Amino acid sequence: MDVNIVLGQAGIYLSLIASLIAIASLVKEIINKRSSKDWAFSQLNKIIKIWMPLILIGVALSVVSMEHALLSHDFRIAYVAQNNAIQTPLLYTIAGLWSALAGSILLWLFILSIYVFLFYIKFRRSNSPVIIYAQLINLIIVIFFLFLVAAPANPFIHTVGAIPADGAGPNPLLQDNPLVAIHPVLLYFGLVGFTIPFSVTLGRLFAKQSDVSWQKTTRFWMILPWSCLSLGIIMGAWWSYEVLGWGGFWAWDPVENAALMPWLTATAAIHSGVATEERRILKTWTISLILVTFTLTILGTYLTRSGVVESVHAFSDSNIGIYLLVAIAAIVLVSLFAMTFLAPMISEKDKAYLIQGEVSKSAAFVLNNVLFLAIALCVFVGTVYPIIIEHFSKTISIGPPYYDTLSAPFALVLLILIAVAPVLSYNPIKLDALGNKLLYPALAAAAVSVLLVLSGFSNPVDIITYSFATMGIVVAVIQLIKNFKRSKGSIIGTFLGRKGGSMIAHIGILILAISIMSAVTLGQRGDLNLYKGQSMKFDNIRFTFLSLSTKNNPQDTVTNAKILINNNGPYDPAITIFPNQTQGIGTPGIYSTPFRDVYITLSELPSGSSSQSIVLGIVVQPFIFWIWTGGFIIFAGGILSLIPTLTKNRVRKKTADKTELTELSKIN
Amino acid sequence: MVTTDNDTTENNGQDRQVRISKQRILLASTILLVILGIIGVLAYSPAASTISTPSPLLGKVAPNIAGNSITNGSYVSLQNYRGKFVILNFFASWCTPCFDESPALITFAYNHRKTNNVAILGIVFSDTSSRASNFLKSVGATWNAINDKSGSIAIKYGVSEPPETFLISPSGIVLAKFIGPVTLAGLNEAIGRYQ
Repeated sequence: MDVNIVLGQAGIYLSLIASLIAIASLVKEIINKRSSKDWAFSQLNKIIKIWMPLILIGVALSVVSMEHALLSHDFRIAYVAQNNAIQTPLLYTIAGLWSALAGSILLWLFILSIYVFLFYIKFRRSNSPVIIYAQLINLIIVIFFLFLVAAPANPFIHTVGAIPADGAGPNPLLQDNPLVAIHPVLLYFGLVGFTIPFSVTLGRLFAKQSDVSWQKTTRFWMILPWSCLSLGIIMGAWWSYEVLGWGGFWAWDPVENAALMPWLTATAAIHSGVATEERRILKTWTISLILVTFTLTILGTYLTRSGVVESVHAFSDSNIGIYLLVAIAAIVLVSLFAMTFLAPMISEKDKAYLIQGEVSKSAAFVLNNVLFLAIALCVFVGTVYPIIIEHFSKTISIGPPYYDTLSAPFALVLLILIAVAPVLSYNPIKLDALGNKLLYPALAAAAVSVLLVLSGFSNPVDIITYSFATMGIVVAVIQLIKNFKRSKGSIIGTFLGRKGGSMIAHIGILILAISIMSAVTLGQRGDLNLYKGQSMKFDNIRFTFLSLSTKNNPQDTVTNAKILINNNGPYDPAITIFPNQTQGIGTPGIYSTPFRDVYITLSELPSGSSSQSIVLGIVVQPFIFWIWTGGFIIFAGGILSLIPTLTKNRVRKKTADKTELTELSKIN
Repeated sequence: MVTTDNDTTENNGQDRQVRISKQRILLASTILLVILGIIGVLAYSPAASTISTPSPLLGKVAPNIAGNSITNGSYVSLQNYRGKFVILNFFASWCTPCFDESPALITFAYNHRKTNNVAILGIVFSDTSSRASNFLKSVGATWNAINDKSGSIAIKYGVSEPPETFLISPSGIVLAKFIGPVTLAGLNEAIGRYQ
C-alpha cells in the first residue's frame, strides 16, 4: 500500500467528516433558532471549535501527501506519473501540484480551507446570525470541492498496470519559468477568496441584516483577494511574455478572460461598496455585484477546467465540467432567490436615492460601475457566445480585435474618470469649483499633450490616454499629499488606509495604462537573417550572432544561440525539445531596461548541421518593465488599504489608554 | 440630488413584511431562465479536444495501411476493413495520454461488439513491437496493431505526437481526426454524426 495515497485520501475523508459534522451543528442551530428565537452560541462554538480546524488539517494532510509524493517521485500515483519525471527540477516538481486538473482542484480546496479557517478564527466570538449563515455557506462550498477531490478529480488514484520507471513530466510550457510557481497560486488566492464576501453577503440576506457595518466586514475580505487577483493576472501576463515567445502579454484567451471577468466585477463592487459604507447608498447594487463576482469565479473554473475551450491553460480530458455547471446553477438559483425575496427587506430605502445629472462622488461611483460592467459584459459575450453558438451554426472565432474595439471606449472613459473622481465629494460640486481643484493636474495633462503633439503624435486616443493618465497620477499624488498634511506628517496616515491605499492602487493602474498603451502602439517587430559572426541593425539596435550550440540533456535537447544586443549580453534565445513531446518550446532572450525591452526569439534553426544561419525574431517595445511594476503597485495599494482596519483601533485604544492615564494621574 | 438616508433605526433580524413586487419576480425569473438556458447549452457542449481537428485528409480516401499485426502476427490491411467504421489509433507504450484514453477505446469497442460495425486498428508510433504489444495486453486491448517502424504511415497521416486518432467510414473515407486522448463521448458523437 502506498503511504502517500493512504494519507492523501485519509485527509480528504477527515475533512469531509469534519465539515459534515460542522454543517450539521450549524443547521441544527439555525433550525432551533427559528422556533425559539434564541441563539445558543456558546453551545455551538464548543462543537465547531473542534471541527473547523480539522477541516483545514485534513486538507493540509492531503496537500502534504501529494507534495511528498511529487518530491519522492512516487509514480505509483497516476497523477505523479503524468506530471512529474525524475529529472524535473525541484521548483517544477513542487509546482506539479497545480500543473494539471486534479492537483489544481486540490490546491483550490486548500486555499479555500485556509480562507474559511481564517474567517472562522476572526469571527469565532461573534454572536451574529450573519456569521452562522456565512460559516454554513462557506462549509457547503468546501464540501463541494471536497467532493470534487474525492470523486471526479481525485489526484490520489493508483497507477493502473505496471508502475512506470519514469514519469511523463509536466507540460513543457510549465517547466520554463519560475513564474509558473507563483502566478497560479496568486490567482487562486484571488479567485477563491471571493467565496468569503459571497457567503457573508448571502448570510446578511438570510439573516435579514440591513446594518451597513457588514459592508465594512465584506470590504476586507473583498480587497484581500482582489489584490492577489490583480497581481496574479499581471504575473500571468508576465509569464506569457517570458515564455510563449510572441512578445505579447495578453491574448484575450478564454482562460485569461475567466480571471478578468471576476476582477472587473470585484473592482466595481469595491467602488460601489465605498458609497454603501460612507453614504448607505447602492446597497443592493453592491450586494448583487458581490454575488455576481463569485458566480463568475466558478464560471471561470468551469471554462478553465472542463476542457470546453481550447487554450494554453485549459486542462481538457476531464469530467468535472458537469458538476461545476450544477454548482453554477445552484449559486444562481440561491442568489436570485435572495435578491428577489430577501434583499427588499434590507434595502427598501435604496429606492429613495436618485442621482441626477450632477458632478459628485456618488455619480462617479455609478459611472465607474456602469463602465466596469460594460467591459465585463463584452468579455463575457466574447468568451461564452462562441461556445453557445457552436450548437446552432458554424464554429466562430472571436479574437483580440473584438475585445480591443469593444472595450477600448469604456476603458478610455474610465481613464478620464480616474483622473477626476478622486477629488469629488458626495455633495455635488459646481464646475468652477471642480476647475479649481483640478487646476494643477489639468495643467500637467495639457503639458503632456503639447509635448506629445510636438514630438509627432497625432492619434487622439494615444494623446488622451497619456495626458489623462498623467493627470490621474498627479491627482492621486495630490490626494496623498493631502493625507500627509491631514495626518500631520505621519507615513501611516499618508499611505495606509483606504484613502492612502486606494490612491496607490490608482497610480498602479495608471502606470499600467501608460505602459500598455506605449508597448502596443510604439512596438516594432521584425526578423533578421544572421550568419554566425554577423552583425545587423534593426530599429537602430545592433544584433550580433556569436554562436549556436545544441546540448542533449537527459530531460531535453536545447538549441541555444548566443546573441549580443548593442554589445550587451550575450542573450540566448533557445528552442527546447522534450522527449515524449515533439512540440518544441521557444525561449526568448530579453534585454530589459525600464525604458524598453528588446525581445528576441529563434524563429528558424539552421536546416543542415553545416549551415550556420538563423532567423531571429525581434520585438522592441517601450516601458514593458512598468507593466509588471504597475501590477506590484496595485497589489501594494490593495494591501496597504487594508492595514488601518487593524491599526486604527489600536491607535484609538492607545490614545484612550493615555487619556485614562492622565485622568488617573490627575486624581492622584 | 442625492437624498441621504435619515432613517437611523436599523432593523436587524426582525422580520418585517415587505411586499415583493411582481416586476421583481418577473425580472428574477427572466434572468434565471436566461442563465439556466446558457448552462443547459454549456452542459451539452463537447470538450474542445473531442471536436475533430482540421486535416487535409478529411473527406479523402484513407491512405492504405498493411502489415503484420503485433497482436497475433496475422496480415492486416486497412482495405480489408471496408464495410466497417475504423478507429485508427496512433499510440506508443511511452505515451501517458495513450494510456489514459485506452479505457474509452475499450468501452467503445465493447459497446459495438454486437453490431460488429466498428473496428479499432492501432498504429505503433516510434516504439518496439514487444513493448507496444505488452502495453496493449496490460490495458486489455485485443485489437490488431501494426508497427510503423519506418514512420511512413505517420507521415502519410500527418501524425506528429500520439495519441492521434482517425475515424474512417465504411467506404474508406477519413471522417474525423482527433489530437490528444479520445473520450467515449467524443467517439460516440463522431460516429453518431455519420451513421
